[in-house]
Amino acid sequence: MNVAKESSALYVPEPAQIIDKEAMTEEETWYHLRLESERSLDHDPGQFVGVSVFGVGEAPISVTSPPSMKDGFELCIRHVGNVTDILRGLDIGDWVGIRGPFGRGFDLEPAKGKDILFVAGGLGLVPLRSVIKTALENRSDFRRVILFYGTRSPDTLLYEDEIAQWDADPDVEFHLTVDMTDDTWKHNVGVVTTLFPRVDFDPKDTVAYICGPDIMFRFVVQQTTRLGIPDENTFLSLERRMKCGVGKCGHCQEGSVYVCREGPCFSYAEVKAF
Amino acid sequence: MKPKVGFFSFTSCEGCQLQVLNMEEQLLDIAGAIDLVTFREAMDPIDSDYDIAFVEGSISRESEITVLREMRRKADVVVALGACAASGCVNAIKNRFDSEENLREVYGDAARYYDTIDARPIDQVVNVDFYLRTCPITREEFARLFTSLLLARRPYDPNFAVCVECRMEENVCVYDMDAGEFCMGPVTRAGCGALCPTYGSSCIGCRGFMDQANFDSMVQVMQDHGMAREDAVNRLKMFNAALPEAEEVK
Amino acid sequence: MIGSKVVSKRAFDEMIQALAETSDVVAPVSRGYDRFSYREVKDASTLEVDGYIPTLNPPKKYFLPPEEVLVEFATEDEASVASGARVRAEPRIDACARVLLGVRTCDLKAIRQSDEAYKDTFEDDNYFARRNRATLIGLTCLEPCDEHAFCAAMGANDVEEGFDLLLTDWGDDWIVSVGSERGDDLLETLQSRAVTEDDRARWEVLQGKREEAFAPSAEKIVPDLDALPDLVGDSEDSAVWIENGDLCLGCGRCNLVCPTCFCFDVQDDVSLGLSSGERKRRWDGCTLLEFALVAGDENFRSDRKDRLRHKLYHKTRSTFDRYGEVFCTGCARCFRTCLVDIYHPEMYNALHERLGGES
Repeated sequence: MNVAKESSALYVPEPAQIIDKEAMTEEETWYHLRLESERSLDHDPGQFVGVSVFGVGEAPISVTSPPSMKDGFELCIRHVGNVTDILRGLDIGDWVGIRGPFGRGFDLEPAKGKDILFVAGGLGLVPLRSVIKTALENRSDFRRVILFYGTRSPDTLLYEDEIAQWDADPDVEFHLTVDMTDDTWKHNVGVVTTLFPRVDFDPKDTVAYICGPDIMFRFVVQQTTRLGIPDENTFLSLERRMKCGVGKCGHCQEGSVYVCREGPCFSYAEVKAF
Repeated sequence: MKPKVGFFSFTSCEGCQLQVLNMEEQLLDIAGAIDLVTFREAMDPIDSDYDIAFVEGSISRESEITVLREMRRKADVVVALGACAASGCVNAIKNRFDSEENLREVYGDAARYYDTIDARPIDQVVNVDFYLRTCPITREEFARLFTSLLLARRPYDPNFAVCVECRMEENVCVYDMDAGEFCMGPVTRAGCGALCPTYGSSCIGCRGFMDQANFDSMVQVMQDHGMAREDAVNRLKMFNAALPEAEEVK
Repeated sequence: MIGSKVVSKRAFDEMIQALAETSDVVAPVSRGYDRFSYREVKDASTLEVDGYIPTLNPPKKYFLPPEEVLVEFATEDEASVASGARVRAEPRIDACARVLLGVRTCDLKAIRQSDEAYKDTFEDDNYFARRNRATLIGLTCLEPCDEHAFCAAMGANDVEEGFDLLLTDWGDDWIVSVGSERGDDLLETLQSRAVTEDDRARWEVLQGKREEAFAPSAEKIVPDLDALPDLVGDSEDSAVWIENGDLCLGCGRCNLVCPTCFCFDVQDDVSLGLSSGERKRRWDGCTLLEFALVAGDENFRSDRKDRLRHKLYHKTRSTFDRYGEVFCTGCARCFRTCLVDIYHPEMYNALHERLGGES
């Protein structure tokens, strides 16, 4: 786990340059960033950074690249606020400020030698992609890799190229669903929980990693619980109003934790205790 | 490209425009950052498109509605400049009385020459993008909003009580002074730096109500400190009679 | 516990006067209307103020100012800071040596607790630049400051740690406890004598009187201090929150004046030329409407009752789980500032009673 860098810089972003960017959907853009210091971000999958547009503010954004990526890192940003709206207009070569990585990411350790179930809903694929890629890079550490991805409609799909790869990969049991679509769609239609009956699980030896909107958690966790996947083997990432990233400003308090510091990734057993 | 900016004035004392002109050493920076197209009474014809229109004053005549609508069509961003435009301000006190009577009282025999309607904030006529709420606006809030617009960010617009800023100033609460002051800080939107309480007066609510204001408790507090219930209600409506929330004040 | 040394008030005052020449010395000063604030002083005379109630704002303002610049930033070529140009960002920390004089034990406890939170996992440099330069000279209360203080119920009317020096009134003298090396060094500069058997005997008598004087304060809360985390933690649906939430103005005053509230908001301000600016933090409060609002406009605590409960939950359950302590000192600032008289002890007692506890 990563600890504080130079403490005098706790609130000071460091310059990072946009190396590449590409619109993924109407609402989301993918960015490849590199820190000016060329320091490797050295993050855990599931951790987030604070992205600053100076004069406007800072937004907490999950890192979507795996830690193995050494030349910079990737973010996928939904344009829904002050900072992220302005980020949309920035181009390759432009600069932003970066703090972090912050928080506790997803730990793959408990899944070693077991089956993994990934469940991503909408933008939840962004932080989860970092874990998925890490797991696939170390494929032999795990037994089955089952991946559910649900999104609103085909035009809101993120990482289409990689989805095609996962779909074609015999080592990945990939299932895709959208809430609504037209006739050309060859995958499932329905919310992400409708994918569960398609797979035979070995629940006692399955570890689940879930990421998506709060409402999705509730329904997905009902499924994992019903299957008998233990609460301590069910991990999820919470979105709260993370601001300072270092457990001070208080905005992300949830139950007894600061989500930015103790999370954003928790086991369901921990979440239940909030 | 510098944004094209217009200033317009409806029913008001024009003190908010004056505050902008009062910005003295900052005025050159402001003028340098924009292309100022109009800075005048709104009754003049609107002959241009605007990136930003600052609108001062409440709407209190039918003819103003027409002009405001046309201006909205020609402006990308409309900013309510001050309490009259943002909440109706004291102009709306008249809404609580009979309109005919008002006219006779104010204009006497000449009353028939005046068209008048209930005074209302401009957002009851057109969509408003941003608000400067104080009566009159403070230079700080103008500068903050102005730079936000230039940066294309949503401006900082506190939605909490004046009490927050008053505690930050560490003022003695006027309710602890028992000085016959009836502060409305607990229901009034902050953003003024608790200016009035800092100088020993109570907040009169010029910045409008914060969301989820607890009027029942506010009226009770004023009563507890010796104000008649009716007076407390009137006080809460002094600057805010035209706001829909004022209906909740009973 | 009795202090180790006795010094004359005159000698102590001279030391403070000397200190005031080289560093800021602040102490509670009357603001009229029976209200007090920490302000700069030149001597120790304010230590003798009678009828002193906790200051309007607690001493946290010296470590976490109401508003503070964290980062200064500017582009190199007059370009706008939000244009994608490279921006130079520098930390800013304003700190000076400061002596806090006459800090009541409730506030000493709060400072110790804030320290803990501000060094938890990530040490907040701005906070500690000031905190580490501060000398805390505490003052023992001989009786509760007023009938609202529930410090004794929270175990905050006596402290064993968290000060450099702690004074107890001893007639023409102070009895001084030393809590740190810095305190020891200060005391070294003074003529003092060791406590005698006589002092000890008098001390026992004084403690007896204090205990009696603080008994009403200790009885303000019916359930045990250690029971509060469970009491509040398991109270989500209690009518106590609905009743008090209806009354609550949602004005945030209780948060701002609380010595163990240390949440903040962060905002950027830019110069009119747009090429430079500051990132500032300001006091914020969890009872305010937009505290838990996230991008996309979801509010995790949109009701006043939920925010009120969250505040107490955080001060009891959360801090107890994390630090093993309830983060409330019973100073009752929240009550004195509250215009609708919401009183924490009453809420605790009501929760306790409704669970069938004895009243």
